[in-house]
Amino acid sequence: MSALVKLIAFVKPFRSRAILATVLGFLTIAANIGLMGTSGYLIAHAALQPETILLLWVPIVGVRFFGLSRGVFRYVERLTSHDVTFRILARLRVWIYGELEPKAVTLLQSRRSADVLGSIISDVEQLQYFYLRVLAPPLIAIMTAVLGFVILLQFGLGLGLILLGMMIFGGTLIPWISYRLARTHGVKDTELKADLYVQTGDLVAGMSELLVNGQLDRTVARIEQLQTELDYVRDKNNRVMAAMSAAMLGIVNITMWFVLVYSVFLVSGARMEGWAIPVTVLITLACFEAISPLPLAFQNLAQTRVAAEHFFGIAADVQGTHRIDPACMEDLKPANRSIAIQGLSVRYEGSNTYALQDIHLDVGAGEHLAIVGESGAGKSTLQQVLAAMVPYQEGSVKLGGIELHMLKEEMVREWISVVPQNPYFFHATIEENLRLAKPSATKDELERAITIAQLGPLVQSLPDGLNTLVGEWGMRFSGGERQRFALARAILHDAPIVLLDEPTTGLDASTEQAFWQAMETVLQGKTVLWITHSIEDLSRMDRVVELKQGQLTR
Amino acid sequence: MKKRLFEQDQVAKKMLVGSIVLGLIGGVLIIVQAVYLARVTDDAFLQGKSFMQLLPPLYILLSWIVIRSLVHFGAEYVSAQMAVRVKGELRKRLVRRISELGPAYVKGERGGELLSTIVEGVEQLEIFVAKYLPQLALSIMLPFAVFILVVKIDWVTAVVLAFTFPLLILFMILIGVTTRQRTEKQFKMLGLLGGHFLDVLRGLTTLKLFNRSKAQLQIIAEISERHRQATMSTLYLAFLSAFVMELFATLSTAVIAVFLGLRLIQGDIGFEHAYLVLLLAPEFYLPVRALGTQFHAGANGTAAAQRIFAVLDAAPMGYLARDGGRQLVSSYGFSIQFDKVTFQYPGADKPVMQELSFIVKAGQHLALVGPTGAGKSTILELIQGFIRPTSGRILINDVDLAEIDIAWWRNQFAMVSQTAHLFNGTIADNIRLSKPDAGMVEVQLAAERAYAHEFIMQMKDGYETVVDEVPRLSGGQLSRVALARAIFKNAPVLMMDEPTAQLDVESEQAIIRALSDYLQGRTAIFVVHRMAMTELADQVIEIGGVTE
Repeated sequence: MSALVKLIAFVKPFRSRAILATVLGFLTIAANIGLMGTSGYLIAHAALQPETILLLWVPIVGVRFFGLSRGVFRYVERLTSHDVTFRILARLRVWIYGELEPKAVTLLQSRRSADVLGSIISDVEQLQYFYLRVLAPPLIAIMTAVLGFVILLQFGLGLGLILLGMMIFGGTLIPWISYRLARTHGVKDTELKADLYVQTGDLVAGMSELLVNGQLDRTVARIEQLQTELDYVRDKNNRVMAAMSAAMLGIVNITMWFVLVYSVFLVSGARMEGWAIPVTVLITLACFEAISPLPLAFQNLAQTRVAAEHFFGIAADVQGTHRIDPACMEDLKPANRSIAIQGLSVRYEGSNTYALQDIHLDVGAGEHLAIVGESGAGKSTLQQVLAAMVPYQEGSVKLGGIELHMLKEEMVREWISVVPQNPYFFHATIEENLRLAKPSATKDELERAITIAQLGPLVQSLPDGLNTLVGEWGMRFSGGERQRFALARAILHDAPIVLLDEPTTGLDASTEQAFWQAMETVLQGKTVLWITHSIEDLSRMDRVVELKQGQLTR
Repeated sequence: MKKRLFEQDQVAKKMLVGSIVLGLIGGVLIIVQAVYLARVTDDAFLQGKSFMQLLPPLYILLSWIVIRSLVHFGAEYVSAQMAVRVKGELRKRLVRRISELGPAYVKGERGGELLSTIVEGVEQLEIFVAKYLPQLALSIMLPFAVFILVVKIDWVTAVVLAFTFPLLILFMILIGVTTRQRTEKQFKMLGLLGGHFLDVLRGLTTLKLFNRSKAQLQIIAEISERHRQATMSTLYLAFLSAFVMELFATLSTAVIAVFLGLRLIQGDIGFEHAYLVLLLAPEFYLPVRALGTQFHAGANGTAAAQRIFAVLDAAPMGYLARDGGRQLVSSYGFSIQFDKVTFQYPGADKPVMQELSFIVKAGQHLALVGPTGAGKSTILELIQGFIRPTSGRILINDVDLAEIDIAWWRNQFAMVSQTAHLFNGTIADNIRLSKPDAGMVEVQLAAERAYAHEFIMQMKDGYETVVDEVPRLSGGQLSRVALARAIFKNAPVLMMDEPTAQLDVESEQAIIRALSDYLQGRTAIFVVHRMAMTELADQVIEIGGVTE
């Protein structure tokens, strides 16, 4: 429940708009009640053939007024409520981003990060409708029920109570029963669909492996089996849903029937005038317009609750990364380009082995150091520690003589450029992705970075040049090309310390030669940590160290 | 397109007819209910009948209400089931189809699109099939039924109805057409804006590296605000058609009510009939309005169906298992020969390779070298039968691959691809992919040969570690699992696409040593980037460049 309470805080800033939208929603239904009521009144009184038409003037105006206003109310209500929805959406996004931003690295490291991000997106998708689909319908229903009760009360207490009672019955019991009956189906449906998604994802992404290893038919059969199970669950669910929809229709008309029977009873006992019968009956039918969306609202409530718990759970769960020492009061700056590591050990949460263990390493200002080692030996971890992306528990890491903990994150990254192994590219143009590193870069600077990263011919071959969209994840380009774009980005960034992770992957021998010549000027005077496993690179470095299972060996 | 959704499925077709018939019966019952309601009201109000006299017709009215609910249940259930059926069958057909279209069709960017078509695209047909299609038929039939009755009892109202109905549809189409283009364009832009948020989340680390992550907070707020404004300006238009329809329907009802009142005073019409007409007037407009609200679902469904049929209609680029063919018998392995093979992707302006010829004799090892994009990987795809040569022949033991049973041939080789896919499941399952019921001894043996055993044992549950539950494997670890998978298969032919590109020198050397032993007596073709691997080759061919 507390998750839902937290959600209300996201609606609060737009309180007045939300109230306006709710009132408009109520007025839309009230207009129909008015239209049906006055039309019933009009024809019933007309049937009594009054002396003069003037007596019917008021209901005629009423009918026209309600007929016109309903559409207008509905239109304005839909606009207002959707506006509230998008305002809530914006707040949700900004809030969750603010929560996740400091924890980015931990979040994106696991293989499941794609799932986590996907679920955040779908949670937000669900939660933005909190007002529109969860809060508003019951509020409007309550207001309508009160209005209907008050009107029918004028014709007799019994009539008012019948309407009110049946509205409460239809508005709570049916939604509740249908929710209970459908809940297990919903859970099963979600599970099966998630399974289906995984299997289909495996089929699409791993098709060549499945074909070569003779497993394609088996995977297809498994997907078909899942689909059959899904169909079965949905069949049962459809039966419940159809039954509930029929029950709702039944309740509307049975309520109308009760009101009719009681009205006829009152009229035959001369306790009510005959013209009131069409009025009470038509108003009753119109009132139920507010009840019919409630089953859906109930379902949405359940889904919203799950999504909210999940959403706030993620925000609370993920651990932060870089912490600034509380003692750090002022903006410290590294004194020079050296790195000094002493007794550094790093262990990831939930892992029982050290990713890095008791590392001692001094890199002088301007020194070029190569770090070799097997995949998984801790090279990337070392890089991430230096970039203040991963916290360290033991030991000391000094950047230009200042402990990393004492430096602000922003300061560290002004001093360090990183070319990671799997760089990320935004679904934007090449230029926008490069400018990330230096928004103020001139055209010449961009071109220079591209030339040094050996991307000149590639960019020239593109019809749109730097304005080419890189595609999602930068998929338009190969792995090696992406790495060199990341390098171009680092060249633009132009920090005094550079951390490189295998930037020459995918280069043929002659291009690699050109690459090294170009890099020489770029790296001049900078401190460089070069992660590599290529033996050819080593000769160009001042010194080589080796990492083995988290420990330095050479 | 609608017909194609139901092709090959007679049951679904019958369900569609059933749901329309039930909907029509439901419509007739609305009329019957209204007739009884009007009569009872008239009897009580003007004829002065007593409560007891009116009880029998009241009970009949109640039974109509009950029957109407039952019919409603039937109509809802049948149409929902129809959607389940159509969606289920389509998804199965899609999955079977893409499994025939093969890796050449699903690779790259299209893979993600396909996945979303199969999973979400098919679901988008739900409302289209369950609601929109039956409604399409009912929106003509039900108003017609109401109209017939109204003609009989009150021609003035009939004229109003007859006059407004085409006008209503005209307005719907007019507004639909004028706003559609604009809204479509805007919705597309909205999609882009919405995608921005996911993109930013995925790239958070990168943003941090360049100190741009905090600035994004402001940008997200701004983009969301722009998103809201853009959406709202779209919605002003999008809601307009619903608004006009609503206005039309309620205003018509109001006009009819006023007309009825005036004629009642003059005694031109009786109360019972007037009341009946008033009850039925909203029902006359309801089906068309319902169709109007599902117009969007209709457009969505049509778009989804087009994507689905585009996949179903695509032509496979490779050989199909169902075509059968010869199975070769050979005790000494297989030779692979390219005979003037040219390959060009359909629609591409130049071929990937032109008249390429080479031969690898049984038991020999060929290394392919050359710059990126020269077509080395394409050669491996051709041998695997994922794509067919545009001209020329590929010969296996002197038999054209086109004549060979492709399923049998794929069983004769193992492949280490550049970007191996890890399947959902345990590490062991991923290694024994070619023989899922194999024991752990075989699995471990293969892993040891591929230098994967050591790091697997360091994982949480060793070989039983579920891939999804641990941090991503590094590139080097992944390629060693892929190698273990290929070694496990123990096939007479081995193909590898840069198997050691992600490895460090030491692991590469170890693997080369292990492979030189393993490759004895097997035919092997491998694409290499670094020269170390060429040690294993009897023959080196440079692709797409000058031979050294």
